[in-house]
Amino acid sequence: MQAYDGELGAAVARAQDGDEAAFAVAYRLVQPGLLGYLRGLVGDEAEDVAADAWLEIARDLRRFQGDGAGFRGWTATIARHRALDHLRRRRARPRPTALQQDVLDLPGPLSTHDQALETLSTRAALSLVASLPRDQAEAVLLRVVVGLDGPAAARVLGKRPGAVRTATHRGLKRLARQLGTDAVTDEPPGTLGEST
Amino acid sequence: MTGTDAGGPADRAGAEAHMRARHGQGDVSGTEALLAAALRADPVDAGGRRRAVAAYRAARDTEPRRAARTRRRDDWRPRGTRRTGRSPRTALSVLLASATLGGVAYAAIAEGGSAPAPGPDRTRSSAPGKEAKEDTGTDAPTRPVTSPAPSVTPSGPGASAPPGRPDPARDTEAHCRAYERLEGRGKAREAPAWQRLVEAAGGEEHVAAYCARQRTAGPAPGRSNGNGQGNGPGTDNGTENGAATGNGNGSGSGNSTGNGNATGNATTGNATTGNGSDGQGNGTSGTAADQPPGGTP
Repeated sequence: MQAYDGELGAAVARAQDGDEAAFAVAYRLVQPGLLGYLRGLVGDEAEDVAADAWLEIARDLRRFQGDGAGFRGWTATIARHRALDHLRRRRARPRPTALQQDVLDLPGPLSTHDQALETLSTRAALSLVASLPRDQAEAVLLRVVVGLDGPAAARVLGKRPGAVRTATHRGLKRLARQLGTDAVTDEPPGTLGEST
Repeated sequence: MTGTDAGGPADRAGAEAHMRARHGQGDVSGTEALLAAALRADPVDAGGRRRAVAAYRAARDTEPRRAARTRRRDDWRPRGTRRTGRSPRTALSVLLASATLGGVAYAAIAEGGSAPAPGPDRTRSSAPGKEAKEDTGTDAPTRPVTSPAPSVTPSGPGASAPPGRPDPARDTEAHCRAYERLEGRGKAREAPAWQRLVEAAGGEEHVAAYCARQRTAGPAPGRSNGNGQGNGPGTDNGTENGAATGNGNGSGSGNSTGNGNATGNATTGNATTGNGSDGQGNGTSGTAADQPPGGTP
C-alpha cells in the first residue's frame, strides 16, 4: 500500500485545491485500509463509523499538511477517534458484539490451516486479530492494514514508538503462530493452538 | 481445545511442514500479507464514496479558502522537515519578543524617573554574564543613572537591609540628574519619585535650586557616614530608609560617582568640617551644608 503513497499524496494536494475527482481518488486509496482498521475496532459497524470519519476528513481536509503516508496517518487518527466515540456510546447499551461472537465461532486452528493459508476469510482474520490484547490488535491493524510505519502508528495511538513496536511484534508473532505461518522451529508444534 | 484436538501434534506438525514447504519465507511478513489481504480485500462501497465526496463538496463550497488553519494534529509532515521549517522562525520571534519587552521595560524605567530602582534590582540578580549582556543592550541615556548602583551593593552587605533602595542622599542626587535630563519630556512628572523630589524641595519651582544645593552638598555626606539626609529635605526619606542608611555608607561609593567629586570640590572644606560631628550631628551638618549653596544660586 505504500506503493500508492505518491499517487495518494498528489491526489490529496489536488483535493485540497478543490479537485473533487482527486478527493474521490484519495477515498478509493485510503478507504480499504481505513475500513479494515475500523472493522477491527468496531466490527460490523465499521461502515457507519467510516462514514462519520469521512465527513470529518472532508471538512478538515484543508487543515491537513503532509504527504500520502501522512494522510493515511491523519485519516487513521480521525477514524480512531470516531470509533472510540462509537464504542463509548455502545458501552452504554451493552450487547454481544459481532467480534465476540466470531471468537466463539472461530474454527480450531488445525482445521483452518490449509484454507487459511490460501485465503483467510475477512471474518476469520478479524476474529484472530480480535483475540489479541487490545494494544497489540490495534498496533497490528495499523501496520498491516493501514500500512503505517512505527512512529506514525505510535502517533495515532498516542503512545511511545517503542511500546507500539513491541506490541506490533508480539501481536504478529502470536498471529503467526495461530495461522501456522510462523517459521520458528525451536518451538514444539504442540504449543500451536494453546496460545489462544 | 486440547480435548477436540484428536489429531494432535503429529497432524499439526505435518500441516506445518507442508505449509512451510509451500511458503518458503513463512514468517511474520507472511502473516502480514495474509492479514492485509483478508482485511483490506473489501470492494469499496459506492454509496460511501458518494457521501464522502458530497461532504467534501459541501465543505469546499461553504468554507472560505483560507479559513482552515493547520492544528498540530493536522501536521503530518515528516519530522525532519517540520522541525527545520519551524525552528528558525520560532527562535527569531522569541528573540524579537524578548528584545521588545526588554526595551519597553527599560524605556519605562528611564521615563518613569524612579531611576535608582533598576540598579539594585539588577545587582541583586547579579549573574555577571547576564548583567554584561543587558548592559550592551542599554541605551546611553540610562547609563549615568544605573552606574552608581553597582557601587552601592558591594558596600551593602547587610542582609537585613532592604535592598531595594540606595542611600537617600544619592537617591536624591539621582532624582536630580534624572530631572535635568528628562525635563519637559516623558512621564517623569507623574512618577512617585518626582513627587517626592518636589515635596523635598518644597515646591515644583524650587526643584532646580534644591538640586543645585544638593549637588554641592552631595559629596560630603557621601563620604561621611552617609547620613546625608541631614541636609534639610529628607525627613521623609530618612525614616523610610532608616535601616538602609547604615549600609549605604559604603566608603567607596561616594568616590565612584564621579560627578559627586567634581562638584564637591568647591565645598570640600565645608563638608569635612561637618563630618567631624557626623555621629549624631546630622542636623547641624545639614544646616551647615545648607548655607553655602543657599547663597550660590
